[in-house]
Amino acid sequence: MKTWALARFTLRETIRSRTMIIGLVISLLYLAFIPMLSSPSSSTVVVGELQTKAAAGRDFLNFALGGLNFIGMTMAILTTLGAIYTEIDKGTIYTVVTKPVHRWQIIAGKWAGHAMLMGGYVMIMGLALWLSVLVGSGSIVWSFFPAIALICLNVITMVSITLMFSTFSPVIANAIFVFILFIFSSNLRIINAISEASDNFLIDAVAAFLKLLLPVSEVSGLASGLLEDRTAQALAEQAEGAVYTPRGWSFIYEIFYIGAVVFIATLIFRKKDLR
Amino acid sequence: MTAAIEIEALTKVFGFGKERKVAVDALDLSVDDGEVFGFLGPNGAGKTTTMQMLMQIIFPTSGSGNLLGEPLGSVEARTSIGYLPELFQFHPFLKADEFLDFHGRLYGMSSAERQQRIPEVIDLVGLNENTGSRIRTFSKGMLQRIGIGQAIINNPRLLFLDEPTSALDPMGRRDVRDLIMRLRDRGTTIFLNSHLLSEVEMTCDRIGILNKGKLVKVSKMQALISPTPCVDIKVDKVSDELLRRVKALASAVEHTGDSLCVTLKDEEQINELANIVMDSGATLREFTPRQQALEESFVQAIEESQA
Repeated sequence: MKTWALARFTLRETIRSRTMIIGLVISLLYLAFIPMLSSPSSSTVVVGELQTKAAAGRDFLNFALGGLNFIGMTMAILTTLGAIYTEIDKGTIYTVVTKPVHRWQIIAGKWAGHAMLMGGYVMIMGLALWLSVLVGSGSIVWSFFPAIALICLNVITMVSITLMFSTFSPVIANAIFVFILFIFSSNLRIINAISEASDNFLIDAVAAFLKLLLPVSEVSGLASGLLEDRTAQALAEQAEGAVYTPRGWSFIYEIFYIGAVVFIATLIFRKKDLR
Repeated sequence: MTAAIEIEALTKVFGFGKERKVAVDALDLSVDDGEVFGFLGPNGAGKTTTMQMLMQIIFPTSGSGNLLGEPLGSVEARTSIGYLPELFQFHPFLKADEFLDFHGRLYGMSSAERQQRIPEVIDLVGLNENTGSRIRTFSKGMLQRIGIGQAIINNPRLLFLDEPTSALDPMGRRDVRDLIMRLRDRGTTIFLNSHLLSEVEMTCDRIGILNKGKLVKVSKMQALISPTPCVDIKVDKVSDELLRRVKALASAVEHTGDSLCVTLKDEEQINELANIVMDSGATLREFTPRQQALEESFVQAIEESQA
């Protein structure tokens, strides 16, 4: 009950934040303009020559999902940056830690509040995109649902890692740490390509390490793969040779990763002097 | 009588090497159940650090303690403890009743308990007209009141108040004083940090004086404010005979013009002193017995600890 009270409270607090409001405005603009930015992918045209409505819808959702993944993860970082540190700085945490709650409950409550908010945001945005395809083309893209669940997982991963950093680092330092991780992880495809081309052990190791350090990129690839045409994928592999394909179990790793990061956050916060 | 607070050799050290600072140095203290204990000291003496260690906002470098018979940090004990921090901010988007509801939930109070208790507390802290107002619209005094509200929402057996009247006007101070008295009558143990010695003098049963992290004096309030009675006397002329007889009686005499400030050994000598003045034939203009104020005892204790 106490953890739930903290989660609810965090959700109410964050939803009122300026960052969240700006994020929501950007999201609405994104929903309004995404149909104009999207165009049929080359893979769909290659496979069918005549693009079907279903394929076009899937193609659009795949494109829109990439943007939603980026906006969602950025919003998750920005809204969670000061989750703990700002509360210590302002002194608002004093009346909370002195109540009969364990410190792990505070972390769990904060995490749950941010995760519910950002997860809910991605779900609603995803549903809006899916409905726009349904209404626009009449096609039902079922594979979109597991894909949006993976994007939710990514967003919750960013919430978790940012929350962990916020247990000990001020907002600016936290932003620097997390965005560096985020940028490296988002460019994993490029690092992988360099690693393939150079056949350098060190770059291979860096690429492997980055996959483990922040698994969002691989899971994004997995989500995208769910919406891509399988025949097109096979043809592309034939044409280009080995193509970077995300490992199917990477989302399971990401679930454990979230658990581990939240656990580390509770360990750091457990014995921290709050001043 | 059982102890509500027991501290043994509680120590807090900040920093390392040249930056090392002992904020609280091997503090031993015991506060009885039902007592109102005033914790005094100059700025930077370690009062807030001590309170923060007791509430586990920060952790002691060494030493131990019990609150309500449970070791420091016990979540079970905190169910019966209230705390008002010194430098606090509350979440500004909440309304007063929502704020108290949130803290009631953190105390594990049921919905029925909260519904009954919240209006009581709002009434106790005098925020009846602001129940539905957002905290962001509150003045400093109102913030202090709602802060006290969250500290007593659970009917605490032990209450820590860190400078509870610092932002209040005289009326607000009187309200807080009355509240402390009411809680004491109900048996609540109160640990009060305050710079306002007059507040402490009026509310506390016992005080502890802290200087540079060390407890330099613990005493019952009565013993501190009246160890030696003083009498201010003003007459038309201080004769040599009067001065000689007063000096023979008193433990100390200050003579300035037609005034005498006489320190006696005990209160029973006051009558004798009055008789001496009357017998001397001088015309009495003023005869004011007074007790030594807490401020004098406080300054004396600090100076002795620094000597």
